[in-house]
Amino acid sequence: MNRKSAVWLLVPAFMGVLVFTFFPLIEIAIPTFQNRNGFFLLYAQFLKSSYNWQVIGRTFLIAFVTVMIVLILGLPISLWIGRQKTAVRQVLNLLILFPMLTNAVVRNFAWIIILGHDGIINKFLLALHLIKSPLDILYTDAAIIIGSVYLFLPIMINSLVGSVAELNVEIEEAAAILGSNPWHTLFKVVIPQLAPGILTGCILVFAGSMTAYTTPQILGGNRHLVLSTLIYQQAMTLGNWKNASVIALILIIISAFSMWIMRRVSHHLDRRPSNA
Amino acid sequence: MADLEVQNLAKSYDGKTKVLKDISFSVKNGEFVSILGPSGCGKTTTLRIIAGLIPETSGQVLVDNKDITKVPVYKRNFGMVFQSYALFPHLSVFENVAFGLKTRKIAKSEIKEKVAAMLELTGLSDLADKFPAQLSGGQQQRVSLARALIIDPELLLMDEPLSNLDAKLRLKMREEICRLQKKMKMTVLFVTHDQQECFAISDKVLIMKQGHIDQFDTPQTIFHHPRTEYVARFIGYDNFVPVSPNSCQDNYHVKAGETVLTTTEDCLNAKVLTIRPENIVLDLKEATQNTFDGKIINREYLGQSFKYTVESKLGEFKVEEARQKMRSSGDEVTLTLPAKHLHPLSE
Ligand SMILES: Nc1ncnc2c1ncn2[C@@H]1O[C@H](COP(=O)(O)OP(=O)(O)O)[C@@H](O)[C@H]1O
Ligand SMILES: [Mg+2]
Repeated sequence: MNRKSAVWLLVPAFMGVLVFTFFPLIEIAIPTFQNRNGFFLLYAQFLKSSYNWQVIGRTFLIAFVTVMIVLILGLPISLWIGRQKTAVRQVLNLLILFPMLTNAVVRNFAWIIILGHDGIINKFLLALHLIKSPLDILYTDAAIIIGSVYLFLPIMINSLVGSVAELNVEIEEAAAILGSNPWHTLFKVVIPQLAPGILTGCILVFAGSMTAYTTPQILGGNRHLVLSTLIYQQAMTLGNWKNASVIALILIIISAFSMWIMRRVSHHLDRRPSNA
Repeated sequence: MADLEVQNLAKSYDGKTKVLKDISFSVKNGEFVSILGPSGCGKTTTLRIIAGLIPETSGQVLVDNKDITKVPVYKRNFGMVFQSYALFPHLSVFENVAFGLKTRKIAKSEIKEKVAAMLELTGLSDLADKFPAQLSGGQQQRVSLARALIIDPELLLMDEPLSNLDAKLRLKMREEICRLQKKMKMTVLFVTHDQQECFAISDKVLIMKQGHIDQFDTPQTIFHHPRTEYVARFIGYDNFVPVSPNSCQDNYHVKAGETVLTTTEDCLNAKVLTIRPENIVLDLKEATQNTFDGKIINREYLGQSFKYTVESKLGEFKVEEARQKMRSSGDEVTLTLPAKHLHPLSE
């Protein structure tokens, strides 16, 4: 058999990828455009409602704030773990990943216990007489963000530790000798070299946070809907599958656009040709 | 550029074993000084303490008579070239070279001018927009040098900068470094484990052995008057003749076994005598002193010469002789050790 005809052997695999990756998407997308009164009518209707814009805004904001907090917490932790001896690093990595082995529902119920009116945080603050009545933390955007940060921090750390361990410390020493103080070295030498790892981490966390369902459902309650809980409501409670599909596509577009922005920022930090 | 003085420097990484013990030396303005020693003797440690990258256990580092021991790295005005080059992988050649000027808050237009001039000087102008990963080893080395020189450092530190280059490029870079050093009148401290390299380019050489200095002199002095057996071995003295204790009667005659040997240097405290293989003469007719019989037991071909191993009553000798005449194993010869080449060593 020659090379040319061997290509045909790839066809089954190619079809498989095509069907399993894009078919579900297409299946969702096509009905949303089939409307006698206009191609984009369903989208226009959805985007006309100020309530929906609120949900989009909340979804984006929660994902954005989550990414920022996870990055700010994850970077120093990763820098510390990544510079330990290999054996220590492996143990720490396992510890960090451990929460991910527990059930998502159980984890979020734990946060209900911590954040609720009778929860540990409120009891503690009341006991110290810092507050007079319990704070409303549970069923707010803040609760969703706290839950998401807890959920996604291990993912960020995991995608950064490897890059940190590979950094050549002599490069930072060279910077110091050239007059760069430790902060300047962090922002101008260390972080740019970590840009690919940071980008991967941010994309994973952002996408995960945008599409997470369990956490906003349990910690946000019914008054703080995000796009994914809105999809569920449209489809399951109202039985409106077409609208659910419209929202799903909007969610995909926002995610894709945000990732493109992150990629641009990352390339600005690290302009090595291999990354271009 | 400035004077450097190191006083009683000691270092221990683990609090127990001393990697450096009482190192003291000085480098004058515009001097090129090399630190020579085998791997693990503490060369890098010395350099890193002077740079301020690691703390000393005790001792001082002075620049122009000012104690800088407690000054943090980024406030010292030094340049350093690393063995791994340690270029910033995310910055272009231009930005790598400009880095030290940017940290000094110099105006953009001035940076541009200075970097362009430095790239010109180091032959890198065409590579300004390339990234380190796109450069060859020699080019990376040049960038590393340019980056260190552009801040006009008081002292340039180099840690085995040539050891990652192939033989031909090494020689070229060596000449380049010499040229720049002369041109910019730099004070340089250069670490190497290659004896030839270091003798060729240094004003003075510091020979280190397990954390202390064995000899600190000009290459010529070290070459002709090694102070210890360790130094002598390091620079190619292959023959060592142990001396009978307290056998030196008049400062210039000493006994090795029953043989009396004559030297031109004071041998009162000598423990061992040394001579280079190329200074021993075979079958010298008019020999009157330091002469005895031997038998050739091995021959090596060195290109320009032969190297023989000769067995004698004073032990084995390595002898290098010009190529005109070839001797064979088993040949009987007489060895002569010319007095002026026979150096007494006290350690
Ligand atoms: N960071 C370190 N921690 C502990 N020991 C070290 C460290 N760096 C070097 N050493 C030890 O110090 C000694 C001198 O090392 P070094 O200065 O690197 O020697 P050289 O550069 O001459 O090869 C060696 O025995 C080495 O094992
Ligand atoms: Mg070294």
